[in-house]
Amino acid sequence: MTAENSIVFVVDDDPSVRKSLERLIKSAGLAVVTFATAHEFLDRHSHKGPSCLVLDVKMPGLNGLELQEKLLSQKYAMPIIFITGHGDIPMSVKAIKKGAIDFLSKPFDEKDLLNAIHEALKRDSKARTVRDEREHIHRRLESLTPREYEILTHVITGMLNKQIAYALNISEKTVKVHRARVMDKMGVDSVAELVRLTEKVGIKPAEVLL
Amino acid sequence: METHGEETAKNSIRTPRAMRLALVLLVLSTWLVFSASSYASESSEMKRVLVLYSFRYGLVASELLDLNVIVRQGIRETLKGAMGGRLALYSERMEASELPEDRYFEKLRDEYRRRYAGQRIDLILVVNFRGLTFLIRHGEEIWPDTPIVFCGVDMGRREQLKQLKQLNPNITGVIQDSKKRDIVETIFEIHPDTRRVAVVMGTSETDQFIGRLYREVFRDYEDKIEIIYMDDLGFEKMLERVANLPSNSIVLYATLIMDGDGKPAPMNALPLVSRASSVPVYGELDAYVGHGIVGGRVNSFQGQGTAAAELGLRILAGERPEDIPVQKKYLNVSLFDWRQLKRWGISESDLPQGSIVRYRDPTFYEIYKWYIWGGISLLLFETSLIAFLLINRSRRLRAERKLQRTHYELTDMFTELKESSVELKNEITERKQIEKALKESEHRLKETMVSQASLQHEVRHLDRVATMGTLSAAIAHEINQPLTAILSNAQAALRFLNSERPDLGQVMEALHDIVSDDKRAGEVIRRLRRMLKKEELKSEALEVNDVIKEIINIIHSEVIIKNASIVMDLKATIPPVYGDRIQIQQVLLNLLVNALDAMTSQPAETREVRISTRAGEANSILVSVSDSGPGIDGHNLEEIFETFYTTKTTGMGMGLPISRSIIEKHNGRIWASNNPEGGATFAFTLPIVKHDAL
Repeated sequence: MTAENSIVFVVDDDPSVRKSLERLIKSAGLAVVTFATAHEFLDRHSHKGPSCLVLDVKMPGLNGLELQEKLLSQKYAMPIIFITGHGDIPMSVKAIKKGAIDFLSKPFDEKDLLNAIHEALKRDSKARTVRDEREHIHRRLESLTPREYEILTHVITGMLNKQIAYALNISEKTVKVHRARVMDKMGVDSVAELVRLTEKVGIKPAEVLL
Repeated sequence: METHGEETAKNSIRTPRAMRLALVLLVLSTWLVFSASSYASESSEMKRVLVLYSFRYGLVASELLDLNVIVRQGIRETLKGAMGGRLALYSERMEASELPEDRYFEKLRDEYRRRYAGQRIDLILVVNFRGLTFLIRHGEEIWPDTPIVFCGVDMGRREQLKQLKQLNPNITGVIQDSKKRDIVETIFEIHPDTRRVAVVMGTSETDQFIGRLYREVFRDYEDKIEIIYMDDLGFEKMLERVANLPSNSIVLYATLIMDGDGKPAPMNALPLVSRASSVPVYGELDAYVGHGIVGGRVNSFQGQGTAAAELGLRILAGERPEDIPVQKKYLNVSLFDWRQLKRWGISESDLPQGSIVRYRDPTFYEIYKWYIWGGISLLLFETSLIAFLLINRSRRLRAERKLQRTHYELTDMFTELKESSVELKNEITERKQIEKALKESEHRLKETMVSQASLQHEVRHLDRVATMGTLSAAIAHEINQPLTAILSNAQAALRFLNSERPDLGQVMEALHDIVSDDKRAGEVIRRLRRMLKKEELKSEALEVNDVIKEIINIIHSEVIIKNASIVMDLKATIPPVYGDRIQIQQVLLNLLVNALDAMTSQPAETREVRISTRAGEANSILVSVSDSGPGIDGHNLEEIFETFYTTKTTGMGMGLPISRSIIEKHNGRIWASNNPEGGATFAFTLPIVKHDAL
């Protein structure tokens, strides 16, 4: 159920807690990398596959909540599971509101932790797929010429070639050539497929009065 | 010129006997110079200088007044000063003579030729025009090719000198610019309302020459002032004339070698004129000062000698006389005779600036200085004695009156006292009863104090409990950590065991970690119990650094919760102290908790507690806890150790007083101070030496 290349990051300043979590997560068949401080994590973590972060709230230096803020300000946020020895409700609400998967009080049951980790990895995996697909679509869109992009916005309205030619005041034959090139460059066989792709990246059809 | 040593000598030797003595000395010194030079003449370095003095006798009163002598001072001082023993100085003097001048010169020539036959002379210094005239005529016949330097020749002879110099280029010298006008103007400055000037002058060539110079100057004054030239009077008549001059008159003594009757003037002409005169007598030469003239801007003949000798030295050093032009010198000095100033009532403030006043008599004060001061002291002594006696008298009177009053008061008091003594007796009885009661209560107090000691023990315990209470969250965290690890490790171990091919190595490792985590949790609890227990006091040798490390373990989580950090700066080589571990930890805990609480309003990144140990003064260990909080108000630095003083909203306010009592029981000292860079520091000392104070 979890991707092969997924990884769990653990940040906790207590060495024995760190070590036990590493062992527990490993026993569940997951790859795990631990860090003693938030800074260490920021400096050294890197992974291309789905990942999540098990994060202690109270730490010397940059604490868990501050690290969350830092990650949120970056391009995409890694899902976070907070663990705390003395969590209070306002703190946990704040963390959850900012997108934390869970907020676990020490000591916690393995099930709670592992469920949260799986949930987090799933969410990250999904987010990554969407992000990857979007990036893929954007790359294809970038290969279109301005005229081709214009034709595309008209095609996805469901207009016929003749109508597009009329709207753009060009010959029907030209529309036909451009249209074929757009379909080819975007890697689709049908208009329905093209519409689905453009919807995913939020391209709006051209507004044309018929 | 202003060498006063010579003048003082003059001042003191004024009797005829002293004059004779001086004459003898003069002859003696001339002989000495002469004999010394004949010895030294063997040396090639030796310079032989002849000085020819030609001022006539009779110009002034005595030998000491002789212009030749005055000039000689300048010459000798300069030559001797520069050459010392390398100088042989000869001197010749042209006398006044009954013979006509031509015949006298020839006679002199023959005498000198005989005297100086075969002797080389390197330089001749000639004083006065007369001698120069002689040298021009006959010098070559006696001392061929010897350079000649002249002095004592007046500016008025400039034209004659030019002719002489053409005849013999081997001559140079100093012309004296005597500036008769200066002399006359100075007189008029001192006596602005002068109406008449009687000029003492004679009929000899020199007399007439000098007289002519004055006539020229007085020409400008003739319309305002009557000028009487007395060269037509015999000396007796002249004295009569000066004795009968009206006021507003001045006598100017020019020169008097030969009087109007053609008779040589007496040697002491000047003092005689001065004594006879009814008005102040002025003159033109420094030599006259001290012999009857008031003074004036007089020609300095000593300066003439000095200037000539300086030229002579240049020639002796190798310069040729024809290369040295005749020099014009203005050598007048303002010189006055104090006795004459007094005689004519002339104030010193009327004299030109920079004037030198000689022959000053000692003042009345100078003579009678000791009598005056003695008198004044005696007077002062008597005055103060009288004042003292007067004051004493009035004091005694006052004291007597006071005594009288006091006597009455005392009598009254005595009466009162008699009455009150009865009351007093009653009071004493009462007081004895009170004392008894006091003793009883003191006894009770001692009993109370014993129980208070155990109360203090109780309070210390309460403080520990309270402090630990504030740390409950941190303590929970501290126990939670190992518990979390234990649970995770156990569950991981189970998972490993449940897998198809159990990794027993992993299970073993997990179990090992569980054991150590459990021990860790146990240690936390043990430490807590120690702090919370009402333990017996136990004094032992303690490594302060270990005690500190243990307390840091307890407070570790609190530091994280408070978002702060702790820096330990512990000196490794400090000796152990003797004390109770728990109590010292209680102090440390109080200080650390306070430090953390003090920083809650600071930005998180600046919250730092620094705990350090050092060897302190006088066999003690110094422990200090610094924070980066806002510090303590200056006036609170002492109060904070007072009971129930607190700036915090939580806590009993007992932490610091208890800490102080603990440290003082350990014979240490505790104090607070503010750090220069901000924040507060609490420090305490513990003695190294063993003691049984606990």
